[in-house]
Amino acid sequence: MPIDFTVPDTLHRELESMRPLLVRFAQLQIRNQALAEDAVQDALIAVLEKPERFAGQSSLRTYVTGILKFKIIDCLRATTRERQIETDEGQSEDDAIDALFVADGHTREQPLAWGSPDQTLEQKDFFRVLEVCLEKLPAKTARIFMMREWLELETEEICKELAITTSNAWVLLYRARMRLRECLDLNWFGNRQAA
Amino acid sequence: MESHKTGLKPTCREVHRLVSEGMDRDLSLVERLRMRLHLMVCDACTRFNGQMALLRSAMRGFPLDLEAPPPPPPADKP
Repeated sequence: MPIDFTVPDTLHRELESMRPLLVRFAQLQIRNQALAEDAVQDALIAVLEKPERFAGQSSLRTYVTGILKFKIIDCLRATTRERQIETDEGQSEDDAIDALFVADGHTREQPLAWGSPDQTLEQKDFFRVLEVCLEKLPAKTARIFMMREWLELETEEICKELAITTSNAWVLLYRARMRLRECLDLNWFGNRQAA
Repeated sequence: MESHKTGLKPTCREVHRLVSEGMDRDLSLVERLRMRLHLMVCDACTRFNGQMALLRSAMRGFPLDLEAPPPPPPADKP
């Protein structure tokens, strides 16, 4: 049933149902619960104040995450000055990636087949597992991955905001994907195969 | 010298990295060719490529009304 967002209550309820996840995902990037809650609150208020802005032109999801993107960037800008971005969080991960390949660069093990993407993406349980996997990522890796893949920021934008080089960003994103792949393999696709 | 990055034939290690970087930047013509030729003959990297595509669709379609994951189970009793 299409939702009529011209009725303020409907929009309000819809936004409230998104709030918990938005806060959890903002927290993966901001790493501070109070600041994450503030960023989400600001974004939701912005949507409620100008509901006509999104009507008909994009999904509510795109609109809300689009606004949250700017709130999160503002928040990171305000805090990066105080926070030295830690640059280690890496050596052991390179070792972990090395371990996946034999000396001549071939994969040690065949990646498991993951089955039909459509079927997978229809299952809520899959997203619960994915969220747990995201939470297990090291802080800096999770932040950049969320900015790239959830907020869909361009790599250049991320590099500017986090004051890192593009090659550093590519490495971090690669590590994030390798870890998530492994985590999903083990906790979702692996289990299913064993069942 | 890291031979796996400079050899004539790309290795799975290089192609895994190219698959990921191709999601974040435009690969050069040479990189694209190396990757495509390798994917034609390598099941492992083809699967990896599909997994990365699934991961991207999953993040872009993440349901915003998903409730919090359950807290981790209490530590096992000794």
